[in-house]
Amino acid sequence: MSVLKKTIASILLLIAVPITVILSYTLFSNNRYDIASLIIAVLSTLAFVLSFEKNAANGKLVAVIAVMIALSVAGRFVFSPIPFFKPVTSIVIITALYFGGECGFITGAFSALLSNFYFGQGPWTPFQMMVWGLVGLLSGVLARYIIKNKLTISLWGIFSGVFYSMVMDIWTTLWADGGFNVERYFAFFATSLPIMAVYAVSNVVFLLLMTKPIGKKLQRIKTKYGI
Amino acid sequence: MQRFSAFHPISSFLYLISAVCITMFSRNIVIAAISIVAAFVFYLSLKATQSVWIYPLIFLLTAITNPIFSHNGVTVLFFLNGNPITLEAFVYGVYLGAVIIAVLLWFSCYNTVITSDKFLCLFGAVMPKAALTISMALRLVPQFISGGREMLEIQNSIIPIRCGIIKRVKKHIAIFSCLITRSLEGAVEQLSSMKARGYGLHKRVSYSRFRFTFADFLLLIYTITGFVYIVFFSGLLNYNYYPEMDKINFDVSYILCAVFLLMPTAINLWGEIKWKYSISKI
Repeated sequence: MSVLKKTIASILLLIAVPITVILSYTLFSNNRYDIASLIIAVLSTLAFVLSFEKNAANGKLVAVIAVMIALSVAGRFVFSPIPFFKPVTSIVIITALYFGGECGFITGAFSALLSNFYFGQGPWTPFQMMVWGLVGLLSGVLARYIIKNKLTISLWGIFSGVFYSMVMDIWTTLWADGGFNVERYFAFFATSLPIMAVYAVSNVVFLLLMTKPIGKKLQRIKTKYGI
Repeated sequence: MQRFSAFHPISSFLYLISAVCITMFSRNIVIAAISIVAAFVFYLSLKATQSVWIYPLIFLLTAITNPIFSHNGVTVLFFLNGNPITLEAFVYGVYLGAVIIAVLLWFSCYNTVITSDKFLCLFGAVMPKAALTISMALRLVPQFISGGREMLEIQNSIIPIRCGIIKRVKKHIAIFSCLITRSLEGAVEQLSSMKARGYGLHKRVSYSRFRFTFADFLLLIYTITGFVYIVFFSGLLNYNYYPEMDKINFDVSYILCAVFLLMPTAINLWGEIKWKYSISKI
């Protein structure tokens, strides 16, 4: 792709979101928040994937990210004897802590995509990709503060579990309701509370036990191969 | 003989996505019903394995709960705890449930038709690096699962299978740690050797076993015209439930929509008939 093409692509992507909002407002007489938010989720994920496409000059990074994605997906099978223990969020956070926000986003988004190859794609795929990507992006941006001590890591584990669950509940509400019904959102939120709590706890356990060892391995790879 | 699965990924992917979009965009309960039927017969013709027994339950839940959350509409049926339960809200709930089921069914078909290799073929041309990442990861997942199982057997001989939750978590985390060590370096080495052989020096051509034939072209044109007609010109999609339900005027556009959504089943049936016929001639 030439430079011109790339610039045009990024400009198009930049104006695509407001255009989506305007179009969904004018095209559909009823307010279709679900469709607009779905399209915006796709576009924002696409923006990150395109920038990864452009910037990942270092091919070795691709290998590391592939391993981390495969780990987060395989983890759902490896940990299947332990109920509700799914390491996806933790793996995404750890990758982001050591390789930055963009890698975190890609790991999160592709983990969602890949695990849905096994568990079934659906209209939730774009939203799931975006939310896990966002968890990665935020952890990468705030890496300095998160990695400080055990307390901050645990807090971040709890926060990301709650964040994931709450944002996915927004999508469930939009989908099951067509619009955003606050009462329904709180109903979904209440029903997902126990699972959310288990996720948050498992995130904390996993992060506390694994951040150091995995981090050490990632750091070593980083130094050895100059990534 | 599933003829529809043999189409080029571009055609089949676009068709399935536009079927999902039509279902989701429409507010019309008749379209939702047509879509459910079309998706279900397509699902049957694909002999898909994804289980659907939970879908009626989701439908019932959505249909029943909507009047509780929404009190719009003018035809009050009865009062529940002082809140009006309206006919419109109930019908809207039935519509919502129908759309959810239809979309889930279309995605069950999607998961059978668009396998991961087709997905990679679609996006590999546009995003080679992302496709490389995904295909590397796809190869690693089964390797990790079998490796993890092997390590679990070894760990089971050290730590008993029936032990407390903390010990069990520790055991699995040890396995996980081993998996990382084993694979991380290997993957980087693999990419280094790819680079040494000239990966990324030139524009990459990727092999794909799918050929774009005339039939694929026809399906593509069919998809685009059908989608544009139904979404922009048929006027089927706009429909209001609140405050009062619109009247449904049946006309030819409903039939056209049904034809559009039933096409993949027809294609599969045609393939089946042709297959049976060819066999009978042997």
